[in-house]
Amino acid sequence: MAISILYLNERKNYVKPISDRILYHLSLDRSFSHICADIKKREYFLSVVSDLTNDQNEILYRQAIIKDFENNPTLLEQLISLSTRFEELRITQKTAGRDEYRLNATGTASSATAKNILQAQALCLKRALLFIKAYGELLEKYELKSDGLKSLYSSCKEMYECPDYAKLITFCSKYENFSASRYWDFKFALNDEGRIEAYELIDHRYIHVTDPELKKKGFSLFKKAEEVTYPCQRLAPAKDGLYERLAVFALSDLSGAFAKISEQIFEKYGLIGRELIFYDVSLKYIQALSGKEVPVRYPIFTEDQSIKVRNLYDLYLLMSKPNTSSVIPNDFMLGKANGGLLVFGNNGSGKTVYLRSIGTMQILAQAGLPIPCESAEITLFSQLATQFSEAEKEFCEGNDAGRFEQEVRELAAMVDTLKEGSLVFLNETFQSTAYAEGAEGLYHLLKHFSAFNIRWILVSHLRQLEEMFENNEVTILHTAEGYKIV
Amino acid sequence: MINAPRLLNGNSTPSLPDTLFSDLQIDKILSPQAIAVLQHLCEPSEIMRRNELFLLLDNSNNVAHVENTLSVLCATERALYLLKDAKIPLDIYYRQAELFESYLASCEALASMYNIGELFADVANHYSSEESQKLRSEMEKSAHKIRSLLREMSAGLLSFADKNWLTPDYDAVSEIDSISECAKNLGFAAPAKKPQNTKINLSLSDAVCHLYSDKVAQIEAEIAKYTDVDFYEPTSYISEIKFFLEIYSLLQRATHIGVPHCIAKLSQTPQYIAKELYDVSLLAKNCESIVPNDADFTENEPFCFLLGANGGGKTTYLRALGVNLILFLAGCPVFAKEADIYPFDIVLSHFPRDERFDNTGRLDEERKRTEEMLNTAQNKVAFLFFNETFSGTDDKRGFDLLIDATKKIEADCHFGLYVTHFHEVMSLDYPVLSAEVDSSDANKRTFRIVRSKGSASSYAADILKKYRLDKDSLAARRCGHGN
Repeated sequence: MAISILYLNERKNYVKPISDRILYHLSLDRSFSHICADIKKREYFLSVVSDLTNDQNEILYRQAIIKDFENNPTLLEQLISLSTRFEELRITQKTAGRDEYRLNATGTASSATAKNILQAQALCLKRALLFIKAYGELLEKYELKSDGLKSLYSSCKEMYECPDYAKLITFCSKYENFSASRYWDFKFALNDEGRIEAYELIDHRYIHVTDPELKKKGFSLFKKAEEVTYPCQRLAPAKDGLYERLAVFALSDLSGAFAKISEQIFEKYGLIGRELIFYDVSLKYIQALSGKEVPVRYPIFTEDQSIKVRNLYDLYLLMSKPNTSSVIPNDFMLGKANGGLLVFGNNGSGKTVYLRSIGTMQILAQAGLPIPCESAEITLFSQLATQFSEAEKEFCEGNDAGRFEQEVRELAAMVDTLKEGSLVFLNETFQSTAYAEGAEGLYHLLKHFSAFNIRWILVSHLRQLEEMFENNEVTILHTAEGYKIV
Repeated sequence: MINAPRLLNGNSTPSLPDTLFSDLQIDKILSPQAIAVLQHLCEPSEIMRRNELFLLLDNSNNVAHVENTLSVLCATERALYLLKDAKIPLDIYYRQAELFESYLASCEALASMYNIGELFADVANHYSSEESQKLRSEMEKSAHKIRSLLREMSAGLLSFADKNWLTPDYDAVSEIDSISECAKNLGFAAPAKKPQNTKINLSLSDAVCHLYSDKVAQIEAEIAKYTDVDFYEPTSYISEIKFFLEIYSLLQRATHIGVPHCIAKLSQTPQYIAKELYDVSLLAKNCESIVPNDADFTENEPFCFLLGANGGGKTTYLRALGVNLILFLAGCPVFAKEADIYPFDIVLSHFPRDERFDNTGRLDEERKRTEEMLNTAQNKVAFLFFNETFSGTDDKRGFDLLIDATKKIEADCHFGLYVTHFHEVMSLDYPVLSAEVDSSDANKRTFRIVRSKGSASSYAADILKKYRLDKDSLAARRCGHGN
């Protein structure tokens, strides 16, 4: 099984990944474009973030690794450098494998070519094995606290301390220099149909021959000790190329064995290089927030579904504004009894920023990252969904609906798929129809969510909703001067 | 040595023409080999023996038994082919061992068929004879001995350097096995070896035979004991068994879409009576359902015309009659609920041909063929099928020719069905059938062959309701989830 420093082997409570649309609505893509300029790294990071987990153990597992890297930044650099070279080796090995496949498939392989491929595969396996030792020796130098890095170290150490590790290296060295060998020795076996079912390379020590021609020529005046005579038979040359084809087969089988072991090593340790990208971007994120002199806190996870976040900053504003002081933090509280939160306010008063800051916080916290706030006690959700008021979708086949119908369609899909324990972000939903009708429709929908223990946050102009809900049924906030939410 | 009895008697006469099978589309559902069997009409006693076998094939255990025997016989046929093809000494020894083993298995399989009808019982008795058992007992010992000797010669080591050698293999461990062991101990899956199946060459065969010359001499001595045995004999049943299994397979295909089959009663008087007769040639078109029709041809009304709309199933009805009649005459079950059929002497058909008529016109060609057909049927109890014969001319002339042919048919007391679009046949003194829409079937355009006698709220609320997001629909969703 592949070793992962991101995922626990058995993730509990598997959660549906969040869509790119949610990242777009919450501007996570734009926020991280300020943090990490490398598009590929950023895309990978966001793909990990999207792969939502609500397994607290997995989140804590990542948090511990981030903290290890925070404390030992050179370790991250060295691991990245090592895994980059490990990845290059994987590509080299794959290329050798492709060459072999091509030669076998086209029937153009000769024993000389097969021998070259065998040498290449033996060398790749040897190097892959040595990389595992290098990983282990690097990790050994640091005082690690995270389970993730400690288990990576133990796995490497366990391998290179096994006696068969050294034996395998010896085999690799032998075939790395195979061209120097004088002998090519094989064992064969015939099946019940009299066809060759096995033809494998053997070590020369198994061959015992008494050459009758040499015995005849031998002459001595002294009586010799009794000689052992080994039964053997000279092979007549074969014009049909059978021995050449069989040799290619046996060499290719052996190089296939080396390749297979290499592939398993790459499979087991190959994820690390990629996963380090997540931690690399995570450290950049923490450094960016620290550079903005914003408090960064790892959240505490509550069991009672209550949420209490003090002075939460919106990540996108922090990253896009030159001056941190112009970004106003807000508190976010949601009691365990409240199904949802209604936020009303005028245009440009900070409703959407507030919604975005909560969504961003939730996603990053569930990815194992710290968040820009003074303190955070949050709960974990099984699914996240957003419905942001948008312009009508461009004309495309199958989309004959107007803006209101588009929204209804999206919400219907949500109702069909969302499960208990989800969190829904709704931004100016149902404002593209008569307000009274929109509010009426929305009220029944929000009640439906609450009935299913799906929690929701709605920012809206539909003030009619305020009167529809009973006291304490929902939390109602309003925007105030200076972008404060009260 | 007594000749082995046959499962199919190929000497019966007369033979049905090839065109009958293509006219009735039987060549679309059965192989040429099966059609070759169907071309030979059976004596009533043979029909009964085959019927008995098909009845026994209703039991899946019996089918499995027959299929197993067939596969064993095919293995013998393959072994014979491979032995004939073998040129290298070591290869010949292996092929000979394989032939002995498969021949023994074939004889055993045939001897075990005693409880699958009279046809197989005769064969089983032949292979259970004392003489046969004695031969098998000796051959079994020889086969074991040859196998054992070959196994002792089946492994070795080859060394390629200045000189190339073959030596026996005592305990050599291959490099791939040693590496796999290391991999396993390190927690990796052992690399799979690629399957190898390569024919040996003369060089290796000679080296092995020289290295083990004493064993080779023993093998040759064993083989020499059986030069007089006819190893081909059991394989002659392959095509015969295949016929029965192919018909069985056709029965299964039909059953799969709900078409029944039965063993027709063997009538003593000329007649063709059947309830719910199906045209199984439609299986070639992968039809999911086939409409059945009845057949009622007796000595009082042996011949009739069939009229009807295009696409009304006239030709299908004709084929249903023809295909099932041919199956019956070859001792096979028929696709009907029940049937009572006389073993007619011959079955003939006249369908329009697509050939180019370079020397004669179409009408002349049809007239010539009709004459030939009626001549062939003369003095026999025949069943004749005509499909739009003489339609290639004007109505008057075609109808006149039809009347001529009909008179001859009546005079010779033949049975038959004549599909035509000449409505004037209504005026003749023959029964007329017609394809008519089945009124009992409201949904499908099916035809039956019958005796002829002579087709608001506000915008938002609506949308919410459409997507089941209105108050009532949401409440219903919650109820559906147990809330």
